[in-house]
Amino acid sequence: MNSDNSMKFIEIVSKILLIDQAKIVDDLSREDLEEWDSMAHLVLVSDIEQEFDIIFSDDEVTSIVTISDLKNSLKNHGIVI
Amino acid sequence: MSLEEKDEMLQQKKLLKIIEEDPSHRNYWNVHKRLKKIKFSPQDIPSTSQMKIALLSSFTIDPLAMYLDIDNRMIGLFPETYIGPFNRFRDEVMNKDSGLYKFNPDLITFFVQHDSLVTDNFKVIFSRMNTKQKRDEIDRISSDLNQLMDILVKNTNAIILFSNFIVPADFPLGILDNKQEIGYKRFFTLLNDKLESVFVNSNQVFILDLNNVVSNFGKNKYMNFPMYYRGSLVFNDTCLSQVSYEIMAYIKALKSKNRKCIVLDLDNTLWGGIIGEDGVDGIKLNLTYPGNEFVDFQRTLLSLYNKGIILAVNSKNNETDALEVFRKHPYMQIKEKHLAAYRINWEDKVKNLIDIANEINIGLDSIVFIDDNPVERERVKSSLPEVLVPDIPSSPSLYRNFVEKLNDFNTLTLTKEDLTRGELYKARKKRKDLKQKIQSIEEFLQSLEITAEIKYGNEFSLSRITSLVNRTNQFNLTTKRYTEKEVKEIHEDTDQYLLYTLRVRDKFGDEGIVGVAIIKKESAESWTIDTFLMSCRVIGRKIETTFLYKIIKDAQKAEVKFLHTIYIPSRKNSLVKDFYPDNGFKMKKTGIEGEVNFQLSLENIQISYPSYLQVDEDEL
Repeated sequence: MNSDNSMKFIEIVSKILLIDQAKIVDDLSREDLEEWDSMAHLVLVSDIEQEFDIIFSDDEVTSIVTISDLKNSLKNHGIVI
Repeated sequence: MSLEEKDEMLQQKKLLKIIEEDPSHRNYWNVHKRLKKIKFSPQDIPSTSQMKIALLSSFTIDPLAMYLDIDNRMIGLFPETYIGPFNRFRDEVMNKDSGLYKFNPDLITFFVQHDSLVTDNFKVIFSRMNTKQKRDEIDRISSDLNQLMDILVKNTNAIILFSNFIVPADFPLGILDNKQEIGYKRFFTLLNDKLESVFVNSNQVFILDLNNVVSNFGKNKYMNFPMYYRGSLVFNDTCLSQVSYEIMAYIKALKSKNRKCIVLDLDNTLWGGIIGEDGVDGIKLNLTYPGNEFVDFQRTLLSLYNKGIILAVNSKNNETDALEVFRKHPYMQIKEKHLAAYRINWEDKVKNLIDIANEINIGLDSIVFIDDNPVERERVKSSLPEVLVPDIPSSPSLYRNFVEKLNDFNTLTLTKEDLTRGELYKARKKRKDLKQKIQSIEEFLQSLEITAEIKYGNEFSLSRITSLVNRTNQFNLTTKRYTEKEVKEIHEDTDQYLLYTLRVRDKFGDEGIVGVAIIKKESAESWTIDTFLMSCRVIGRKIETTFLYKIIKDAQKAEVKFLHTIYIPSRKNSLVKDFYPDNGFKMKKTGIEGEVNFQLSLENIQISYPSYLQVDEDEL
């Protein structure tokens, strides 16, 4: 675990999805969270891309449903959370 | 209960504070969502503060609406935004029952990319088009837009802000693009020129120079390509805030949130250095570096003056010293005749600002106050929140650019007759009652978290002491000059002398050593203050009294009975002529040169430092 990356990640998710940092758990899913609509999803993905200087593949953007999906996609790009 | 005190307002204030501290995209997003949950009751919001903005576009414009929403709230407006359906701007204009007209906006912004006005393969075939075809295309697009605007103008009183086309940075013809009669780049330049000339006399349709905003930002980086293809979002986060800033220039003008007057500090603002210390010959104001920074800054201020912005001065100085610069300095660009008012004195700058506003009969909400000193800025910000007090950069080389970038000095030259809704165009705002509660100076000083560090001279401070002894003119009771060797002797002769330094820190930073005192121990019963001086940067915060108290305290500790002091008048130090009597010293005698001797009997005197100062002191 990289604590610096992890802190950035948590901050972004918390701010974009308006959720307490403590409530960000791996199986948190788009279905559970009203704030995680399609616009928020784009903003979230884009903010993470800019923070970690990567570009997600199109498949990744559409298939990310949970926090754990996000983390796994980041891992594919060499970013360990 | 006034709006200011309402719970909703306080919640909003707290959220906007987040943006003030860090205007990042994610904070905008977060704060915007949370602001939406605050429900203001409509009757609480004065009609002058309402602002209805419609956004029509050929791409996803929601993020811009978010920026505009917050940026409007930051200047005290209550915006409502309407986002036209995606790429349906034409229907919105043509159909009288559209959401646009139902919304009844004050301002309509139009963002139409050229892609949505030409055929899909326009760029593909451009190189094969002949000049006539290109001209026809320019005419077709501009008359199409013109018609659209005509319909809008007929159906609404709103100000219409039509953004021009971004002249592309990539041309199919490459380096030969400008060898065509109408190259790809020229095609859009001509189109933009045409739009500007069609509406040049309109007082309802304005062309937003988006091409310029994007050029300034950088054409290679304004787009976030992944987001463009995923969600038809054009501008990247940082560019969005620039676009919003440009639109805010119009909104400020429309809602009388623009500023009419710039009140200026003098030392290290209009010129480099301190006039009272450096003199007319010594200040930095010249055509060469570093004086050229200030000459250039003054020219920018004069260019604003020439378009109707009022200039005034609010400075802590001796009036005669400062006016001499305006009258005699060969490189002074701003002259006395340019100033609508000035207050050059040693009073509180807040009081001076109120006086200036009264004298030129404008509201405080029309004023921008420019001062290099963060303490003065904080004082004005906290006492007079209506005054705009920008945090100008600390380097004078950035002053000019900083002021040129402010979007607060615009007007929409509209006359009342042009539009029926007079509410927007009240020529002059009612002047606010200036007799408001000003935060007391003590409360303010408390908030500065000042620490006065009073130490005895040491080998590391000797050269700084020498420099202050030889350079300080204004807050200097005796203006005695000593060489570094003499200072060293004084420092080493501990039987006869006490040498003090004063260093000041506050929440804005460390001023370093700014005060020096030299005490001569005449006898076991009597001490004399030979030298007492301070840099003008820190006066007016009771630091000078604290410094004096430390000497009194030490004298009492050494069981001295009398403290003798002398004020020797110079051309520069009239500021301190009452310093000793103001602090309880009794006048003893006056000499032929005008020098005044004072004495303080130390028995039965109780002193205590001001409560808002932290004093960090060496002990005897």
